[in-house]
Amino acid sequence: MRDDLTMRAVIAPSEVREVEGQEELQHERPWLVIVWNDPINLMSYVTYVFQKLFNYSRPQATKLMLQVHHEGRAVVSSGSREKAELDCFKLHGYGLWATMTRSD
Amino acid sequence: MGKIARRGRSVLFRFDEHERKLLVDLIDSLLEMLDDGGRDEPALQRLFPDAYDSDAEAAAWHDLVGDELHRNKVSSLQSVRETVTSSGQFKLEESEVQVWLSALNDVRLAIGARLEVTEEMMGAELARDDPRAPTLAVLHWLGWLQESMLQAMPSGR
Repeated sequence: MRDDLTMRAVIAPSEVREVEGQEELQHERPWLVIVWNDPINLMSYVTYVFQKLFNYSRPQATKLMLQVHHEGRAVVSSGSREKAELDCFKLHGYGLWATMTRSD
Repeated sequence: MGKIARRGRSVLFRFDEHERKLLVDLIDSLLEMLDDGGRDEPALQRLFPDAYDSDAEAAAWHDLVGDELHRNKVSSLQSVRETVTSSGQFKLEESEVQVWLSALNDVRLAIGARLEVTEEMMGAELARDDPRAPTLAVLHWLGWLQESMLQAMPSGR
């Protein structure tokens, strides 16, 4: 189940940072940071964390939050392994359920 | 009933005695859990999730960042505890409100994980004699505090 969702996330990556992600894809497979839905975190809180951590605009952050809520997960950032680990660390600091996986 | 409102570049908090005591009790029980460790504790599994699918990489991840994440969470909880212990009314800057948001979120996650909360449970009202009802009410109260803080953020939303 998780793998299947992850695959779909990879096939349809978030359009946020699309240009950056595509550039990296050509050189090496980037790491994707995925946030999973959970029943506790408030929608407003998740939106706020996306804005704070990734400098997304309010509409971009809201769109990602809704993707997490309705589809069960969303890719929120991508890049080198080090960057993905740092992003996961920050997301876990805010209590969001985040994992990272290699794009393929 | 407490109050959280924007005051210029700060956020004003006002809690009554009952709320202050409840917050301190909730924080203390999470601090105790964090102190005891124990990876099978559902609350701790939720606060320190695996970042990787593979067990080996997930374990390496916990070795790498687990202590720092743990320290940060303890420090945020202690900071909130100190503030709410010292006074029932105070003003906080946005960076301090952020500490409150993440600390209260951790308290909610821990309660929710232990209660095995589902989306249905969060959206519905439990029967009054349901043993989980009081805990769920606390969860909703903490959520209301978070929501009020987010709305009162000086940077505007």
